Formats: sequence, structure tokens, C-alpha cells
Amino acid sequence: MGLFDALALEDFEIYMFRHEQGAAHAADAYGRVARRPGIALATSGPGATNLVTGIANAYFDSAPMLAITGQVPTKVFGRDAFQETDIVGVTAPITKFAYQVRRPEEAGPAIRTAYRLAVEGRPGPTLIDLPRDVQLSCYKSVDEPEYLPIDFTKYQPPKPDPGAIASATRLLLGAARPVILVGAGVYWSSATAEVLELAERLQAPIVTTLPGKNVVPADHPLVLGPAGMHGRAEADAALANADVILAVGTRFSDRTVGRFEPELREKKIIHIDIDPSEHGKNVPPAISILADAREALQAILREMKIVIQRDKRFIEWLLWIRRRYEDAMEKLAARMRKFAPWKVLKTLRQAVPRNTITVTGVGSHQMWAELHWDVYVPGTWVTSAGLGTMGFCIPAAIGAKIAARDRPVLCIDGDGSFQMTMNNLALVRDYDLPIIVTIFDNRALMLVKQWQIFLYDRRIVATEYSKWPDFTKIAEAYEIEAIRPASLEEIDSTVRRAIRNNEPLVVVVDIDNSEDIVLPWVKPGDWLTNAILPPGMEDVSLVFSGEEAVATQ
Amino acid sequence: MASKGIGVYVIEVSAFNGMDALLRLTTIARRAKLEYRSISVSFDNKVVLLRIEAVGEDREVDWLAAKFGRLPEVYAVAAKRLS
Repeated sequence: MGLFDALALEDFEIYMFRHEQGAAHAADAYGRVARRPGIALATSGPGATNLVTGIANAYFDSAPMLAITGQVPTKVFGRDAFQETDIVGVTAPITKFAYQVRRPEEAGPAIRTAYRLAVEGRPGPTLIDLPRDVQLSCYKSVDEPEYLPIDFTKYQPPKPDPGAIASATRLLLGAARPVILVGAGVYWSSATAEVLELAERLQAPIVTTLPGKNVVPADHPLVLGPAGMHGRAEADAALANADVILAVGTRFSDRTVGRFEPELREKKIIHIDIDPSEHGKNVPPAISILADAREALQAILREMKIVIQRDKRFIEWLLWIRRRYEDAMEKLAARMRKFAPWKVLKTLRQAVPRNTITVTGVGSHQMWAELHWDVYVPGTWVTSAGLGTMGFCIPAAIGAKIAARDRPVLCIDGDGSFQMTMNNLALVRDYDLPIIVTIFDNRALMLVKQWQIFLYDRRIVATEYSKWPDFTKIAEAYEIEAIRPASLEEIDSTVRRAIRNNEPLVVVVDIDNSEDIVLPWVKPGDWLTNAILPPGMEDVSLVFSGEEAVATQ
Repeated sequence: MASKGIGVYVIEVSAFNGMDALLRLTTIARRAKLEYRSISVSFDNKVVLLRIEAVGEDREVDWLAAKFGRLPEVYAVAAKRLS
């Protein structure tokens, strides 16, 4: 209370979320969009522990945010005082930095340190714990240090090693099927232009991680989309058949590559990352470049003095897989009783401006969005990738809207994910934050149910919901227009009108959960070429033999 | 760390922020796939000096040392192979 009381005297914008988890997700998304930390404040005990999921989410997606928590007075530490929780202990493994202020003179340096650290080098969440007596004390700073005694220079990335750059360039130029894999590090480094230029010079396809969708425009001819568990078939095929992989700003998540061995170890990997602990963590690279992604890519471009005339059969084959997949999904959509999720996404994509910030929840809708949502403008894709936090979408969309009030914000959510944080819809009217929410309503925790169907002999346990609540009434309770559309045309016209009028909208889309199986799907622990493809692609193999030229005509 | 394979290692860390830094260091150490033989700690005001002796693969020691080094409060990390 002391801190809030002090904030009232200053020029801070304060947004009152209905649950602390929502505040944390909003701060996370704000940080990603604004490129500076959002701040989430909570009281001690349950207020602080309610932040934990949001802090963990930001940690696993390397998003900048600062959490400030209240704490019981220092004199009762460890006495189990009312609402005492050791939040520094609780968040130790999921924060970039956590610090408990014990003396008033530490407060200023601690908060400045935590704020700076959240965006320094690889971003991440930081936390400052403020005991009540510290908050209430009167302190006039005299010769106060600006920061805690922290060595910030360690976050200045070293210049790329010239020897490694030369070796990487040689490897790329000599590769038969080089592929560029990009992750979120490219966003923080602002290296999109360099990635595209390198891909064009090499005529190399670009595949992304799930958060890496944020860094390259989907309509670039060399961008194949995300690879991985629910990646695009052509992206899985590209990564699986590459002889050299240039991986930039990614940690080689198992979700992206399926498994680490033996297949991945047989490839020559050039790994560019700002974080030394990521090099060799999951996959030993042939060449490791510890550097800022943009600087390293610029160095490779300078070193690469020739333009490659590459055999186009590999890329043509990948684009053929893309066409086959799109054809198969089109035919599948025609047979579906209710909405096909991917058709809804394509309709929404046409209805909203190219620079719309798109946020997702977690579940099957997120995987459909991974596969079918085209990100045109880098920095407009916000999703919970590393932690996979259901409930992320609504508060994160609100945080994104706070960061960019001049741009439309679309939340693509599922019914399960929506119900976890839907109470934060109250902020839409409280603070005039007109977001558009689409709920893919299949009345199931569908992604888990999909695993039960395929991996647990169809034993469906605790993954199906009843028909309650009616989401349109939930929206109306918050004075937000809601529709349950009967057609794609109705979705298109209603969303366009909401965008035009700068009004919030909730669109509840009926999905039949008996048909809502997200494909392609690489089963856990499987290799990318074993992806289960949708019906109609039975004759398609994701293994490139070099003989596919005729087949793809 | 030139030689590959399993060995006995000593990892020494100095960090700011006393017991809280120790807590954060140990939350990382417990996730390394190493067998710990001994851990000793001393304090110099708010600076903590941690010495770990562990057995395991060099790449796992490298991972642990790199993870330690990324903590803002860590001043220095040194890992060396004893045998």
C-alpha cells in the first residue's frame, strides 16, 4: 500500500488487473511490444505467488518485465507473519534477477538495477521485493549509487570472432541444402533485414521457431514458417533435410527439432546466440558464434562476396509440399461440420490490418495459429512458447494494447485458455482498450485430448468441458459486443467493422472437437520427417532424395 | 577444458548478495547432471565465495559454469578439471 500511495503522487499509469497473473502476462507482453519492461506490482503472500506463472512465462520466453512485490516487515521475517512468503526464494530459478530490499537506501539502486537488467543482453523478468517497513520509511538519498554493485558489462556481447565468421561463411557457401533457423533472438537484435539478405544471397529457405514467427514476414518467398511439433510440413522437411543449419537466436527447443539425436548431430550447425549458456546446451554446433545476431550476420554478409547459383530442386520440392498441404487442408475444410480453424484464421488475417498485433492463448488454437497465421510485420506476434501458459491471451493482449494503442490487437484464444483469465476483460472498458478476441470454442482441452486419442488409446480423461458458460454472455457482462457467427463472411464483416470503429469485440467460433486434430504433428521424441500429415498427403514423404524434381512438376 | 569425458571438477564462483545469491546459484546447480562431492561457502560481507567439487561430463560443467556466469550478481566463475 505504501508503494501504491507513493505512485499516486507520481505520473505513473496504473492498470488494475483482476488477478495478479493477468498483470504479469500484461507486463510480459508490454515488454515484448514496447521493448522496455512492463511493471507488475502485487502485494505480499498470495499476491506475489499469483505473479509466479507470469514471471515464469516471461523467463522462458526471454521477455523483459519487472515484478515488484510487497513483503512483511523485516522484523517479522521468518515468523510466518500474515501473508509472508519468501518470494525471492520462490522465484529464484525463474528470474533473471531477484532482490529483496532490506534497507531504504537500497530501494532506488535496486529498482533501477532490476529495470535495466530486464532488457540488458538477453531480456528476462526481474523482481524486487519491498518489505513494508522499507516502503513506509522516509529516506532522502544522499550520494546514492545509481545501481547495485552489478557488472553490467557482461551483457555486452563480444564482437563476432573473425575466424568463426570465416568458417561459417565457407560452410554456408559449400552447403548443398543450407537452411536458416530463426528464433526470438533475431527480434531483440533487430536482425530481420540481415536474415532476409543472407537467405536471398544463399537462396536458403528460412524456417522459424514458434516465437521466431515474430521475426520474418510470412509472405517472403523464402520464409517457410515454423518447424517442429506442430510446424509446417515444408518447414519440417527443410530442417530435416538440411546439410547445414544456420541457427540464429534460438535455444534449439525440443518443440522445434523433435529430438536432438541422432539426426541433428549429423548436421553441420552454425549457432549464433548472445547467451553463452545456449551454445552446445542441446546440440553441439560445428561453429559457435557468441555475438549479437545482427552483428554476426552483418559480418557473414561482409565475408560472403559471391552470390550463389543454387540448384533449385530443394526449394521447389519444399514449395510443392506447401501446395500439397494447402490443398489437403482445403479439401478437409470442405468436409467439416462446423468451422475449420484454419479457415477462420485466414478470414481474420484478411479482415485485420497487416500491422495488427496478434496474441494467442495456449492450446489447439495456438497450434493452428502457428501453422496458419501469417505474420507480416516483425514484432506483431506474441505467444507463450516456452512455458505454454494457458490463460496468456487476454491479459497479454491487454498489455500489448497498452504498449501500442495506435494499432489493432487481436487475441486468438481457445475456450479452455480463455476461461483461465477471462476476468481481465474488465480492463477493456475500464481503460478503453478495444481488443478483438476470437475464442475457438471446442469445449475441450483439445491438444491434450489429441494426445489421449493418439497416445493413450482414446481414453479421454478430464479434457472435455460442459456447455457452460456462454461466452457471448460473459462478453456482454463486460459490455463488449459478442457474436457467435454462422459463416466466415459474418466473421469478416463484423471484425472489419470493429476495427473501423475502434471497438472491442468477442467472436465465439464453434469448433467440433471430434474434428479438431492439429496436423502436421511430430509426436514427442520423434524426428521431423515422421510428422503425421493430414489426409490427402499419404503419398508425400518429407525425406528429400534429390529425385523429386519430376514429382513436383 | 580441453579433454573430453567424465572427470572431477572444481567450480569456483564469486557473487554479490550473500545468502540470496547462494540460493540462486544452488537452484541452477541442482539441475546440472553432475554428482556433487562437496560444496563450501564463505562470505565477505555481501560477497559470497562458493566452491563446488563435482564429477561429471565436461560439457555439463561447461553448461553449469555458463549458467552461473549469466546471473547478474555473479562476478567471476572458474572451472578446472582436477582429474
